[in-house]
Amino acid sequence: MANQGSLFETKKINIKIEGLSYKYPMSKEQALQNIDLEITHGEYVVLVGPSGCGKTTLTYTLNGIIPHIIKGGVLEGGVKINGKDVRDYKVDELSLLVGTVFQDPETQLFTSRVLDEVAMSLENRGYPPEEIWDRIDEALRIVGLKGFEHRHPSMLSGGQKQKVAIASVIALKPPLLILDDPTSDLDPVTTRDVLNVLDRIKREYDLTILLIEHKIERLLRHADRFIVMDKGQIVLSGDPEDVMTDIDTLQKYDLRPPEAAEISYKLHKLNPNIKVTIDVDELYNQLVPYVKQKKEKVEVPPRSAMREYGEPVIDIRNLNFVFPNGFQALKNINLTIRKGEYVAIIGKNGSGKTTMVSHMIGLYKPARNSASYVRVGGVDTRATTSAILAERVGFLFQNPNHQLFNDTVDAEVEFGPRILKFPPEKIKESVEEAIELAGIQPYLGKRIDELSKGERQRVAVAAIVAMQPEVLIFDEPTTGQDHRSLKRFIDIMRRIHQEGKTVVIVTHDMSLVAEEAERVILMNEGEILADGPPGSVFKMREVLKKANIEPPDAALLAEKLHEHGFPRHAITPDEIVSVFEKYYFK
Amino acid sequence: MVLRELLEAAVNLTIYEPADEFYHKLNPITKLYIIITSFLYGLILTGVWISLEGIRMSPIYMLFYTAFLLAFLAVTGRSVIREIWKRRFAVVFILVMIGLGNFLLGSPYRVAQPWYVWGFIEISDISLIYGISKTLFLVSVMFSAIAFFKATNPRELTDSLERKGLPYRFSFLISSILRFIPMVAEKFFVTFNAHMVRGVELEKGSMREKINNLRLLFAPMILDILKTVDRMTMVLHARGFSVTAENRTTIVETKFSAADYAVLAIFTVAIVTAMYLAWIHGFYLIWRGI
Repeated sequence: MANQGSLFETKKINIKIEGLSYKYPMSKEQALQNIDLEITHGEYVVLVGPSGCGKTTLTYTLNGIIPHIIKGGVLEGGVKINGKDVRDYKVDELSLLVGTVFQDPETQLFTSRVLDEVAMSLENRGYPPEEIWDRIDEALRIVGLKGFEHRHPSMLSGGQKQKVAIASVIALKPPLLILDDPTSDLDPVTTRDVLNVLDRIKREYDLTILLIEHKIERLLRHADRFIVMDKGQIVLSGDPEDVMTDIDTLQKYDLRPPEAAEISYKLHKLNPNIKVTIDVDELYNQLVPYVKQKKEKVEVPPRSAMREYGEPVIDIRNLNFVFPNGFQALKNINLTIRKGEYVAIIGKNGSGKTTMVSHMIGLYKPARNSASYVRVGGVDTRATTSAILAERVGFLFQNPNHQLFNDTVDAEVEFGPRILKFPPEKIKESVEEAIELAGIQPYLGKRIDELSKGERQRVAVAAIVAMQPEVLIFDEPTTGQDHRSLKRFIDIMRRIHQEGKTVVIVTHDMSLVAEEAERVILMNEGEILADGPPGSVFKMREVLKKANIEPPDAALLAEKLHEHGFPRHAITPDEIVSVFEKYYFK
Repeated sequence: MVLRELLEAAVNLTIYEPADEFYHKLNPITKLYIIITSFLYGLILTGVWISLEGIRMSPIYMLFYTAFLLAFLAVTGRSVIREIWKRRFAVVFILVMIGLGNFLLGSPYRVAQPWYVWGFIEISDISLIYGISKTLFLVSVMFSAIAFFKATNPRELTDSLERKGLPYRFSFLISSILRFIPMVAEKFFVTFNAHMVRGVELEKGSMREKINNLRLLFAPMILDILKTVDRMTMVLHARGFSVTAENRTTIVETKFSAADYAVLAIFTVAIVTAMYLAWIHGFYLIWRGI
């Protein structure tokens, strides 16, 4: 076996980072600034912070990607593992010591069978076949993929692919496991599943975990330490509960605190008897006496009751859809969406959400001569093309790169109106409106490749809005975005809606659903299981369980309080705080 | 959306799917040999060197071989036939297009009384026969190639090739390419759809307009693929790929069994038969027109 030596034979690991600074080649700004950090063996450390704050860069200095693969930057200070400077070892050598799981599972799988994937690193290092089989068996058992040995990676779900990537890395049993936002493309239930797998790995292999994650709320019960980074520096480090209840600091760095902490913090300001906590049950116990003592019933109407909707803009009748491989993705869908609605379509991966919205934009069409139809603005999608429908329905893909193909921001926004042959004055008007709405004035004249992902996404929205569609559909608009970009993006969607457009979002982000949507459509196995205001859908326990959906913590708290008379439709942190302020703390 | 259907079929029919069937258990080289046999058999009996008499008989010979191959696949690799049946629209579409092309444009044979002549295009009974033979030739090559992809784990193929002396890095490249086919196709579909919803017309209009609009897809697609390759290189390093030991081990064992030798013998008989039939019918001498 290659690379035998004292450092690589170790099963325990201690990391010491001193005065670490790094500047990428061609960059003017420091990606890391004077970082001092110690991680001791067996710790489960979570790195959080806005995009571009240096989290990934920090991990690159641990696994050797900096300076051995990304060359030419300025690296100062030291990163030592068990007293040895990692710069002296190449990435490939360090892989025995530092296992790295990246964000996108698709780019981490190279072979055509799960078992070959797990075996690859072991075979390359010359492990005996019997040991390789044992390790495959063990790694797949730990990640819960026993029985999947012969599957082709393309036949696996996103969560399963990520688990294969994890199994492939832990098969080498490295004492340090780094995971760079491994759950960003996964639904909430699969995310929980992957986090549980990490717990199991840590328990069985006694290793150290360094995890970059945006879904911090879910990690409270898993991690030993949270480290908050901003602008290349560590700004906060400590016990998860201490960090997550330091709301002022979190807000200062644009990080979203757990909902229970946010609610309790705001209520504490109104009523000092309420203690700040991250635990929903503890918060419930503090709040329930206030709810019980109120004799009169408190009512808050659903958001949809405050609005009047127009004529149907999307009308789906008796829609069934079977893929050529025989999989029935949609089963007898009947749905009407009216002008001015704000609809969230939720459901686990593979539940039929994307197939259904693909029908709304004409990418899939009902069979000819069948009783089913999809009408968009009264037009049967079978009688037209997606390009023509683009004038009525705008669709924003999860990855903005897929739908941006002009060189500059200006050209990108003008492209749609031109292709739809708007008259010159209308092009000018619609482009200006779209630029203003998406807030992309600072990017005008810039090249698309100069922009960050969040900025590109806003340009993509402007490009769609400029075509003046009646309906805008957003596919997973918040995936992989930090809280700062997310807030900005949610604001854009809200403004589009306020202008009278119909907004449809397909999302796994239940907080976004609770806070923004007026109507929730819950899908499972190709069927619509529930359809109603968020406050009603998030209270359908059995239905949610069947669809593997977990409501956000605030909605769970509201549901528990509802049993004692708390209003059904106050389900977001702000709504809950406002109800307490108005009715219960008086 | 014919293009979408064809691409989806192309991807689906090239992805390996394990099954507990006789065909799947054959050595990859045996399955490769079946493709070569299908190709050689068709090439020998439908090539321009076959005499006019031979080409008149070729549909029967091709039908015989194609029927034998399909029966062989139906018995030994039922799952492959099932997958082809699921994608029958795309398969039939390609066969009809290529058959028509050969019927209308492909035949090099000239007859005294053609049905229709337009420039170099000559439609006759012989061009019809030629079109049928070439279509059957394509059926046999296509089906044996699909069976190869659907029933062969790329790892087993590369392992077999490594045993024949192919360097590991090269064999890894081959298996990676097979793994990337669905990924690249997926990227194409997403980019294709993303462009249509921005108003780029890819469904209607003239072929020239469609091709012009398709050009828009390439820049974002290539950029996406390059980024993916860049990321994958990083992942490979992080997985220790370049420290591959000299004594690299493998858990894949590909051996030649008695079944492999039997299949090789049967298909060798097919090639010999084709050569014999070509010989007894004589050869077409293009320069003399006989």
